[in-house]
Amino acid sequence: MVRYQQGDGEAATALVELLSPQLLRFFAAQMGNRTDADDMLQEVWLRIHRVRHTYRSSEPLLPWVYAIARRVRVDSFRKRRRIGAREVADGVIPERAAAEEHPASGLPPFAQMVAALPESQREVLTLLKVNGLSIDEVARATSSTAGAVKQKAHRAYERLRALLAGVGR
Amino acid sequence: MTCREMNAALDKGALTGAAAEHAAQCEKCARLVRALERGADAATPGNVAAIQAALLADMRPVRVLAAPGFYLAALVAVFAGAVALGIVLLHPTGWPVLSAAQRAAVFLPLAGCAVLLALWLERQMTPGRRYGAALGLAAAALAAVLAGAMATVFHPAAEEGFVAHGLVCLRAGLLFALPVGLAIRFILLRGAVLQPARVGAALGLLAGLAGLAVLETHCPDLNAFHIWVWHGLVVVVSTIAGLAAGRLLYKV
Repeated sequence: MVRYQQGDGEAATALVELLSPQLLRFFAAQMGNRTDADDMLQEVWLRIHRVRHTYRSSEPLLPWVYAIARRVRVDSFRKRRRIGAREVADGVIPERAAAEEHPASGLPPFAQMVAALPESQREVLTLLKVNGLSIDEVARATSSTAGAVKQKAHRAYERLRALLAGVGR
Repeated sequence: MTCREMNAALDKGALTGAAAEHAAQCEKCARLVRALERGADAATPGNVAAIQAALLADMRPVRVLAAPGFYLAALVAVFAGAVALGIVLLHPTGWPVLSAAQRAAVFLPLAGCAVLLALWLERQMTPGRRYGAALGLAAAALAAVLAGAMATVFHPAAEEGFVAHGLVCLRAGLLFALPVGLAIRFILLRGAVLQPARVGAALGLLAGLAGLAVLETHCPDLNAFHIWVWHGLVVVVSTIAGLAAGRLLYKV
């Protein structure tokens, strides 16, 4: 990241290659739509590039990246909601996407499973379990406290246990 | 180990020891662990080359943000400088009429709130900083303490020219708050603000507190109604203006 800030193109391309799969999983797990996730991935890199001077090497990188990614997701969600509201007003009722079939494990795909959770729990769970961030890193990325992150994660586990108890039996 | 205790183990990632044993015995937890592991399935982005090309097209060195202390000092200096300038220009005619208790009740929480707001604002310049939420809550709590203190240490009295006199204070307070707000905005624009509305409101509150500090040292009117309405309005108007102008800070 420091070399990227110094204008090293190779470092920038390496960073994009390293972090893009993780970021894509972050967006895809929460949006459940690959096309939207790809768009958001592009958007997050443009924003990272624009504010790359705000990263300090003394701080961990991932919370910085995911705080920006989170903002992109929120903006995209708001934009989609605005567009969605307009479409409904025009009398177009969007068709509900067919539920994906359970794979061989008998468990639903992650995105479908976490869709049942409230947004804040879904976000915390995605950062912890999909992106592999620690509790402290999630707290930093979400401008929250470690205690609040743990509470959301534990509530999400409880809810998922109940949800999974009725699946694939 | 219980399912509840298992939650803490799940936070840490790979299961070991008692947690792994529990997952092997408890069907509910085993299903949860398997389901969560599915979240780590690989995903290959299709547009990496396009992203890299876009970044390389604008590749140049950037000047990294200065140390946090620099911006914190700048924010505190703007606040203190505006208050000092207000005291010099308007004369501290209100200070001698305040009792020691009133001075302590007003200026201690005001100064504490200003410092916490400056700390919080400095943290908002860089995404992913620690303690942002705690500092914001502490600043809001001290702002509430200040409002409570001002509501109790002054006493209501009848006053002639309530509006005319009040408008003079409101205008003077806002005149000092405005440049403070603009100067803070200038500092914050160097960073990357991700929560423009909240940051705008905090900026407005800090600027309003500077205006309030100037008024409390200058205005000799101790009528509670005058202070609650007109001095309080400086903070309220400034905060609302900051909230509305928050979008102007939105760079990310």
